Amino acid sequence: MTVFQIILLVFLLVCAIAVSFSKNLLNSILIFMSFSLIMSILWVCLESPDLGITEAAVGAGVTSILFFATLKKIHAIEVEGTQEEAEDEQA
Amino acid sequence: MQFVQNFPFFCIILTLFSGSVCAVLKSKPARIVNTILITIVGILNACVLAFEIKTGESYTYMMGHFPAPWGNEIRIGVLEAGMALFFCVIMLLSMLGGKHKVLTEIAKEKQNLYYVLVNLLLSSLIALVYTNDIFTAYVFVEINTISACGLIMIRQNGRTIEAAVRYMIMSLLGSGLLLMGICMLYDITGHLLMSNIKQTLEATYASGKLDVPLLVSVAFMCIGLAIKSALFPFHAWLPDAYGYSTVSSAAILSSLVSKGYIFLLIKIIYRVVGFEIFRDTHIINVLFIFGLCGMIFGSVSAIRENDIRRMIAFSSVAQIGYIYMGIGLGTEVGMAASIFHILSHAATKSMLFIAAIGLTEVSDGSRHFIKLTGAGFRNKIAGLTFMAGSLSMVGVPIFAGFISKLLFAQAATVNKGKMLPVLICLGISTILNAIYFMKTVIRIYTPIDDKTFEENKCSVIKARQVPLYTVTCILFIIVNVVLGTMSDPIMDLITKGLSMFA
Amino acid sequence: MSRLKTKEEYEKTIGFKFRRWLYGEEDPYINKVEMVKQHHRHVEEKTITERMHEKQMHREYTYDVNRNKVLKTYSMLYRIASVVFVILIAALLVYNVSWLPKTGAAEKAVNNEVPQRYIENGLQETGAVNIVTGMILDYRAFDTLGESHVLFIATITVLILLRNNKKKATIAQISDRRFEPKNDSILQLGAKILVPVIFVFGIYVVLNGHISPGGGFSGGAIIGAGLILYVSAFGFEKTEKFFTERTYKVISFAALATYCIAKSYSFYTGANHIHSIIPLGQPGAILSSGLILILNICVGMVVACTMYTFYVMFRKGDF
Repeated sequence: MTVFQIILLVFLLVCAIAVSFSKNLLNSILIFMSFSLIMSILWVCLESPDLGITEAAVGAGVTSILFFATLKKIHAIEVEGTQEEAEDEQA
Repeated sequence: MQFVQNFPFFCIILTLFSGSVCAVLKSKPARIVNTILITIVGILNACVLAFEIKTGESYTYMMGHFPAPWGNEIRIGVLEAGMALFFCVIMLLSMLGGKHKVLTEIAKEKQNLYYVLVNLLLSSLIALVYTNDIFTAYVFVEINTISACGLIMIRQNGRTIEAAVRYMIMSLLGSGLLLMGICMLYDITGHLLMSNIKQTLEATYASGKLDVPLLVSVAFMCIGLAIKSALFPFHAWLPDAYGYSTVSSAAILSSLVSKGYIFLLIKIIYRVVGFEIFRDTHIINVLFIFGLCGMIFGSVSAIRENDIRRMIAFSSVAQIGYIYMGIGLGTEVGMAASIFHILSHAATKSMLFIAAIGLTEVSDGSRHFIKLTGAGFRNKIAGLTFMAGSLSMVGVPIFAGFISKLLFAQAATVNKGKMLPVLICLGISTILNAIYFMKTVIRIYTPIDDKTFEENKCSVIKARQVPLYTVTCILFIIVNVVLGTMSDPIMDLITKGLSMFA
Repeated sequence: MSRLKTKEEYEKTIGFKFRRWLYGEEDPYINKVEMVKQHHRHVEEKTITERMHEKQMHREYTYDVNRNKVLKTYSMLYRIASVVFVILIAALLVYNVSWLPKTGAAEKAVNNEVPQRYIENGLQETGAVNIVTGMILDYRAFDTLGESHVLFIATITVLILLRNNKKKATIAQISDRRFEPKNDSILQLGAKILVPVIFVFGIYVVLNGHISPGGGFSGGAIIGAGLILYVSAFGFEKTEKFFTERTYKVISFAALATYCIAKSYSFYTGANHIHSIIPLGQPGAILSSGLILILNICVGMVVACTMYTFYVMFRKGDF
């Protein structure tokens, strides 16, 4: 195991713990995204590029976007321009 | 190879195929496809069962051009074919009995999706029953879980969605544990095929080198499947999920989904871990104790309920406790009794759900006991079916429940150490069962005067008005009585199937 | 009169009062416990917002950790228990792993005849240069069939949960503007450049699944991500021209049906020991390795549609 992989593994652990202890949901998702990216690099290191591609596309890409969409839907994140919209609707 | 031997494969592929067909159909054709499909699959499985009884030995069926450890395969024996046939029968009856409720309770444009879920659930059940590869089992467990979630929440009111979320969290936890167990087992043995795992495990176990990983992986698989089939301490999701979903879903969930997982567990015990190794680990005692606790606490919670559907749901916890208690006895006889109880409970519980819906319909849709007073007179067929189901649950002769209680008691006498607790708990649990089921039966056969009739907005449904429902109820009673009176040949088949497992 | 008590005393006893009540001379309750006719309780009509507010207040009061001692201790205990539980499970797993042979060690049980045949004969038997694809789509195609149905049923469940009813659709249409992204020129320019590249790469990954790393699952996910990027840059109006619920159902039906039929043929011939007529072709060429290419395309289509449908359902709840 190379030093590079050990560093990645440490990052992985840090990310995993940070996700569960982060108070802000948006931050959790961002950390989760980086977790997936590190994981996909690790898959490539473990000589399984197929998994690496899938992890990058699904874990870091689509899943996080779905999380964002959900957060927006349940109004857990402030959307920029909400104020303007409300004014628009009134007008 | 004879043509009949292809039938299990046809069943799986047909059900998967019809799942995607129903998605593009409108709701009525989808329903017809669903009914025809379940019937065809049932007939095919009956043919397989007849073939198996005739030849008397199991066979494996290669899924593809490559033999087993490299490709996938399914394995067909008496027990598998019989179980698949039984699942089809119960599913058909549940779908027919709850048809009118599906039509009214589910949004019109989503009804075809309901049949997609049911078809894929059936495919996953059949594949779980027949598979000989532990990873294939996991894949179909996933299909089973997701479609069960869909079945709960398709009747979209707040409570079902909450119930579905609860079910999903618990169920995914179970799937995760199962997957971890499978991964560790693969790491120990290097195989995913059940028979190969068993061979390798026997050698590893004899050498005694990998005891800890073996214990952990078996424990994970057992706990995972126990969570998914609502064994006592993990049953918190159950009453809401069974109590508020549409009635066909409740019947299917209680009688088939949880039983599919238990059958997979039995399969893992016999064909993956090996019965002797499993008995030597102490997990069996844990299952036994949780089973006993479930028998008592499930019934106690059921007594405290005053909502008929939730009461039946809590009774499921008690009955699943019986099954795990039988597995925990650690004898062949106990296992056979458990398998018989799977059959009898599946037949009885779906019958009770279908009957309960008939009773609530004539009481202004209310499920509370007070409102149900006299419902047995207003909907005679539902009352009769409910009474038959209750008698079976309590364990009155000629019904299925009596035979399974008898078998459990007989099995307990073989195992000296566990005899006393089993008999005591069996007695207490039977009395508790009798309390809440007889309470309900007396309640639905207490006459009410006309004034209360008006006040509660009751109505009367005659058997002639709902021919399909009536026929379904009668069929349910017949199935139950057949299980109760012709138990000897069925027990012969079960013991024969269990001996084929090894 | 031979009485033990005087008349005044006698009038105070219970017996006397009872006698009077019995003969109807006096009712002890009159003027003492008067039944007043109840006035109809008038509740002031509150607006919905007020009631919601009150409900919220009650909820906040009940779940206020500072006031409710039981809740406070329970939440503390719960946190401690969950942390202890997680640590225990982690310790158990670590201890367990320490018993297993090291990853990549030669004496590991995983290195048996199964992967050996995959590595040695995989190319000749499946015609796929990428052994992983050969494994999941030929040796163990049944698992993959189940896996693609998992995706399908997941989409169906999301459709059930999030799809708006037709009645609500009018409200959704009015507020539909809210879901549309603003015309962000940076995003649109980026999407214009990136989306074709992503699509071409995704299609390349799907089509080359049997030659190079990748395949249906990864390629489909890439195409799905491209679709999502497109829709977030240009809005739903553009995508609805070519992708509706009908499109989703037809595409997934076609893909799954093709998969089922193709694999049924191969399972049936395999189990009955009939020689399959599908040629394996020249290894390394695009048109090679039998059914794998078709299956990859099917899986890719299912995955891409699933990803996109998830996104649309989460954003809008309607196609």
